[in-house]
Amino acid sequence: MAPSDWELVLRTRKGDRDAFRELVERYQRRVASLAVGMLRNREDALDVVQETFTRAYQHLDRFKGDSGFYTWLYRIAFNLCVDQQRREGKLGELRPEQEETGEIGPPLAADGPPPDEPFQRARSAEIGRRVEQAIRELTPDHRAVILLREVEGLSYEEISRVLDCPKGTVMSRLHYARRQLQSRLRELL
Amino acid sequence: MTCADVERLVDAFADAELPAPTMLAVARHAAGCTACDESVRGLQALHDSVARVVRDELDALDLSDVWSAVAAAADHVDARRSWSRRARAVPAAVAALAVAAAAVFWLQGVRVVPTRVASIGPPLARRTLPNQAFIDRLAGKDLKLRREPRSGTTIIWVNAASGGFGR
Repeated sequence: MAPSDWELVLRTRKGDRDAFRELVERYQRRVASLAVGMLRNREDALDVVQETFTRAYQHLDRFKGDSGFYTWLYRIAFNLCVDQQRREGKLGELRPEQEETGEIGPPLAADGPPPDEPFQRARSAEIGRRVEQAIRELTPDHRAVILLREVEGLSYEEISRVLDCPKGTVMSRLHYARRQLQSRLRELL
Repeated sequence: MTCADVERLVDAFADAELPAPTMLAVARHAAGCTACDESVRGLQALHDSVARVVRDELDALDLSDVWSAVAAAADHVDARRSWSRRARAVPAAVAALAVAAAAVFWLQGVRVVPTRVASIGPPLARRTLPNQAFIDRLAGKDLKLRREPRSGTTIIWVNAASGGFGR
């Protein structure tokens, strides 16, 4: 039976480097998933993954085990992603009136190839590109909520711990982000 | 359960975040309502699209070097910790040494001082030579004394006006 995260954390604290390696290998893909979704840049995402685990190792004594180890990791990763975007000036915030009125601009036109057999792959790629674009246009907070829910499958409670905000805020951000994506991708989905 | 209720609850329904009876009520309503059913399916389609896009990107990411990079960084972290531990230990060691030294001197002092007193006897200042006491008694009247510590002699000045003898 595989050791629990908490057991591995305790072993790491006692100097067992193999235990930490197991934690890294257990969660590197999940952390990378958040990083790549947030940053849309493989090199930056890899940097964030490495830095996330380095910080986790450095501050492992601060992890009290009262929440999941991966939510703690996600929190580190999310903060690093936001820092990274801030450094690069990519922190595209929505205007306040957009947030209030829910106006999110015109939907993208469905000008891709028809869904016939020869064009299926091209259409799929086109949908992927547009979904990617729509995700990128979300604010970091909305993007994080979408990624943590739709890709990582975290519960509202877990997301609220990762983002350090109330559960109600998670629900409203998720609702807003989904409506925005649906509006952008109306003709494709 | 109305369409307005479902609209309000559809996100939590899609995320299975509602209590079981509410989940059941929404599912029953959506089963008989085309608009609400489409709303639920739309969220499912969105979920699939977002998950697929991120997973495709993730599959293109090479994570094979993550551990080696993290292990190297962890070595640095351990080295820094070791240095800071040593740095913290130095003042403590110095303080401990000082306390130990003070304790040793104190103990030595307690033991040595009585033996010295016993061996030396009364302080030197109290010892007066026999002729010195006589000279001291004369001093201050017609005599002035000046002791020469280097030669160990005492020069006696006699007031000539009183009819005594000179140096």
